[in-house]
Amino acid sequence: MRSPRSGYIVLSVLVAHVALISVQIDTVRGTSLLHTATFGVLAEMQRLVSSTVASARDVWSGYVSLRDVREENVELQEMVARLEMRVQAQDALVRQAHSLERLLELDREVELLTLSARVIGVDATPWFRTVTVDRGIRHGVRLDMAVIAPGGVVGRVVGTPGMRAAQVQLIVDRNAAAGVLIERTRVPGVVVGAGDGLGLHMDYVSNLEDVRVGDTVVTSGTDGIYPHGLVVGTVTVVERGTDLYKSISVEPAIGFNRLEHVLIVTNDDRLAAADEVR
Amino acid sequence: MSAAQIAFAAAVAVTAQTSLAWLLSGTVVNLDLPLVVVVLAGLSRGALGGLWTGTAAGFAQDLLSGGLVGVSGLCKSVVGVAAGLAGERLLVIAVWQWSLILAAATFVHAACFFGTYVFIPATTPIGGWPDVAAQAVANALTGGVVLGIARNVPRWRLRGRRVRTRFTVGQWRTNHAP
Repeated sequence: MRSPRSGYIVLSVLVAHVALISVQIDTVRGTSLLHTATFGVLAEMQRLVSSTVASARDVWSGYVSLRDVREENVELQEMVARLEMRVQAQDALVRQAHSLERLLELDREVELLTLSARVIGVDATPWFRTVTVDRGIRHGVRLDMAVIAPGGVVGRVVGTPGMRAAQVQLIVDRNAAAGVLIERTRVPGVVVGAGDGLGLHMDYVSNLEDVRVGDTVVTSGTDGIYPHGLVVGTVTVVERGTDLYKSISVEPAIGFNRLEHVLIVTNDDRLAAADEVR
Repeated sequence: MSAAQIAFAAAVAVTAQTSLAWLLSGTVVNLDLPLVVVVLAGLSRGALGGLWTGTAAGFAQDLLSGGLVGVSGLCKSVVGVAAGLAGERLLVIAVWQWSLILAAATFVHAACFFGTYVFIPATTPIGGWPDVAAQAVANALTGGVVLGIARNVPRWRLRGRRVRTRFTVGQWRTNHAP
């Protein structure tokens, strides 16, 4: 870089970067158009790579590694039989709960409408925890929709979704938070992502409250994003804090490694339902 | 490296970073492949090559990340220019020298990245300096391997061509022997 012209180019590009960052801080929607357009293109690349790798993996698992299928089949049949028994028992409990609800004249919880999505990519830097899913505006996905999995809460949709893809901030991201309750004692609090990107911290729980290791943490529905009653994780460490609040560590219910399929909660009346339940 | 090769390498790095590594390993890999490409581009193409590669790769990375658009672009541009200046002023030939510059560049990039986010309290990245140190080692090793492969490709091609030529000549002799 010997000519002054090169120096000016470097300076201009760096100033442009700073301006771009500043624009996003000053306004809520900032670079949404540019972001949406380019994110859509990059997400298509991710979708292509993801489909190719998934197809190759399916071919491998479908045609090559069939050695243990017979034993696995027998095991699965046994498991299905056991699960059928359990489902019957659960059905009986549900019927019992419904009859009790009717007796107590409680409103029943509105079912969540969900849209299944496949994870096609992860965050491009190791410093944030987001994933890209293959559903976007075309499928009805919008900003701040809750994303869940059969095991519990995954995160929420962030940024402006693309036409066929959206970015999901995982609950373990440092910038994520959710209103929660200790299921056993109904003690409220807020979970936030821990600094390591793997675990969670539960904040704003008074030192006087009863919280124990092993307690289940569920969403409270007060944050306006996550519906009430979804499992967030399990309390692993409870310590008396130096200030007013306890220091509580929570292990997420979802294993974020190998997260392949998620459900996006799409019904708009979810908060009303949550309020009714509360 | 030509500009097209660098652009292709940057696109592959961003895609591999976001899709391939995770799909194959199932975990978030503490590696910054676009940074590796930016440093290699800076060292081989000079400060302006590093600048443009850093801008493009960083911008793409920002779009597929939970951070603000422009932060990775800014930091990768700075690193690209620095790597370019280092390449113009220092004699960087051996693979270990390139790896050393990659490790140093990782720290410079992290300092810029975390330093920028200090001024943006609404968004906070996870991780700390131990993670940066681990990434520096991973980046240096990956860069070394990539460079080693890139340097040996012409040699492997030449060897393959020689083998093919020998086979063809031998076959001709066999077929046309009196």
